[in-house]
Amino acid sequence: MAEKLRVVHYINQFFGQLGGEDAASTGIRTETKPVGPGLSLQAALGERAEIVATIICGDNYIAEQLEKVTDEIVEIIRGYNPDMFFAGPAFNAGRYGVACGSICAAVKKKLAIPAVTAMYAENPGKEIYATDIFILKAGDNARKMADETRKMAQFAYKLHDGTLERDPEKEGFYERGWMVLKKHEDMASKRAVDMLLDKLHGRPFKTEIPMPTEEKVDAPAPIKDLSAATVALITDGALCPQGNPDGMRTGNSTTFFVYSVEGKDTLTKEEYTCVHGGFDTSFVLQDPNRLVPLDALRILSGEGFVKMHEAFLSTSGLTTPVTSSVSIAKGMIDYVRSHSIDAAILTST
Amino acid sequence: MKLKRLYVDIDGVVFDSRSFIDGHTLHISKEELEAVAGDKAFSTVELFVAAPGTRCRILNMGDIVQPTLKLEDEDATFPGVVGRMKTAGRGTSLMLRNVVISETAEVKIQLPSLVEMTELGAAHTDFAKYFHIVIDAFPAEGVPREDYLTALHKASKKLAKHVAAIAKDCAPDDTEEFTLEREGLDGLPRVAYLADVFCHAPFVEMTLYGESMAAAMPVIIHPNEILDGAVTNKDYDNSSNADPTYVWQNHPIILELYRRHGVDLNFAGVVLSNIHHTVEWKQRNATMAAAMIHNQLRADGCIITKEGGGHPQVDVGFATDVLEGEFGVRTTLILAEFLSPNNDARGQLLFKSKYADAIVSTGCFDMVDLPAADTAIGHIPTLMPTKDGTLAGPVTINNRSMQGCESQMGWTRFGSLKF
Repeated sequence: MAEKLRVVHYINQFFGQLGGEDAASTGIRTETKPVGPGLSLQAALGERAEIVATIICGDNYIAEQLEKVTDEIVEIIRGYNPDMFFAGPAFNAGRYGVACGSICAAVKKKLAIPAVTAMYAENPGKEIYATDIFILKAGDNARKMADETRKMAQFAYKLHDGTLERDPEKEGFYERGWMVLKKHEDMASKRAVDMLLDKLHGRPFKTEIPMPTEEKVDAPAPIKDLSAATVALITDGALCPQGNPDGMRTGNSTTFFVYSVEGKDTLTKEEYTCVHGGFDTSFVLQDPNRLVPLDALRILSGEGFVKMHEAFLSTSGLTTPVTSSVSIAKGMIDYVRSHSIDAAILTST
Repeated sequence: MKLKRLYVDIDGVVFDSRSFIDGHTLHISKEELEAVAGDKAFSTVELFVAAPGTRCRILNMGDIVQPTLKLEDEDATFPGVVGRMKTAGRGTSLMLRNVVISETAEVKIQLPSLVEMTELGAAHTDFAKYFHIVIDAFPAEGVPREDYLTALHKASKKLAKHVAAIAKDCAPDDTEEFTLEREGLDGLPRVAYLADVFCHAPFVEMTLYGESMAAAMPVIIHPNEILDGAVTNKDYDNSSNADPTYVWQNHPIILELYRRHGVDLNFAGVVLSNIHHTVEWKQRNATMAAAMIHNQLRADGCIITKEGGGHPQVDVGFATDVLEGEFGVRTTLILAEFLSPNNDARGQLLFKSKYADAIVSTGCFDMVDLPAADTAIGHIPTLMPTKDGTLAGPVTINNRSMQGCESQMGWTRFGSLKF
């Protein structure tokens, strides 16, 4: 018989039978055998795998220095040279769920082995880590422990064997926020009519594209004295010098570029062009100031109305993933902060 | 209003010394058809035939058109485009099935668009399942791009009419009748269709009776008019963001609503509304379109589709809010999920609407490895470089570049699996 797969299991102080809140500050402990829920996990894993170590840690101990303790635990796990890793199930225990998520994400990244945890839908650990790792759906208490650990074991074997289907309903994991192309039996047109009739008749239906949850952005405080403020021009309309020396993309951007306008009163069509791939650029090509209004801002700054920053920031805002947009924006914010800029005029297309 | 369509099915297309149909084989005279497609804007016109299942690639796709002829009034075929102005959607139209007239544009366009005639191509789009009679015309010297593309746009419609006329003496293989007037509609939910169209710039547009809707307010139109050539696609620069004329002629939502008219719904009608680039226009058109759907069409429910890329979602969102929020008209949307190449399932909607809780996906981003083809029709390379630098060479392309793959009007089986 082939050698058994080596398994490491992480649990908190409560399930490690060290105590409840009174023991939540307990540091990292290691046992070289299954403990608590590890017993039913071992039963579910059967003969093919063996829990070679159980790591127990207090919820407060890890919550208070999550990154540092996660790193320490991952190094301990590495020492056992495991083939699979389990954490929890964490049910609805918030700190425990976050710890399970954090360690699984780190194990997946650093050790590249299957890392499986399970928790209740409202556990904050699910919200934070569901995009990074597989989190199995679990109840809000430990009553069905044998069921939960059995699902975890089966899931880990599928991950290990590469037989897992990308189907959250069927495989019992929380949607991770990604997607792949899928071919349906019915045309989209028929699915739309079916869905509309279900909606009209009050029958259950399931949208294929869920509306994302709201993100609220507060407006900044107004500037009291504009004449003392430095204003920068920023565009997502992909204005760049002729010849596009930096190779700015027409869309799907990952970065932005800074172009000096020192000594310029206007942006001429001989000097600038527009490489945006998603709008009629003819008016910009005729007069680049209509995308980046340097001419007007120069006049206002000459009149002492505002001060102006002597460069503009440019990127191409087209088919850019939200994650890239956020990272471009963070870069722009760093630039604005480090150049004592008080306000920006954003021109979009 | 009643439209009868007679279908003649074609299972082979061959060049011959004259044009005729023998059984189901379409024989075409290259010389004759090239003369029909000819225009002073072209220096040369050459026709090619691409057959399904062959290792043939059609590059830089322009429009794709189903051959059709108005039988009682031939001059009114594609009214406003190449035909005399007359209301489409009435009388009898002769159509060939399984064969299309398509264009390869010999000028650069912004987004790559091709049809691969192989089985792999057919797995992505039904356009690979039809015979293509491809117009390959080069612009004459000194002819501006817009004149060239206008001539190309008309050439495919002229040829569609001419090729359909070859079947005038054939017994039809199938017929279909389209009329909204029928018994037994009482008590069925009234369902309308709102098509947000994208007339954004010259050659990123559709036409209604030959004219762009760029500056138009919404219009109520009979579904038969759409099925019968009143709407053509004129989107060249973003052609994979729009559906070709063929899909308008066989509009999948209109056909589905017709199939179920009197069965489980009452097809109330269609509104076309343009997607403008200013917020004021977006709000105006969405509000007016919603009012038409509620007041004139008296709909209980409405399917909404869009063309174009990201910002047209805003128009769909506005229309949804007015329809549901003000008028209580229930909505279902069809959207493509191609905004984020990283397939972030949460980064695909650019609008907020508490009412948009029923959305059908026409697919997300994917890359397709196309092996080398034997032949390529057209001379403008796809924007993605082939591995050997030749037009027919192996190439890895975005799935949406395969014309029809992510049809935003729902002419596709693709969707997405969230995980």
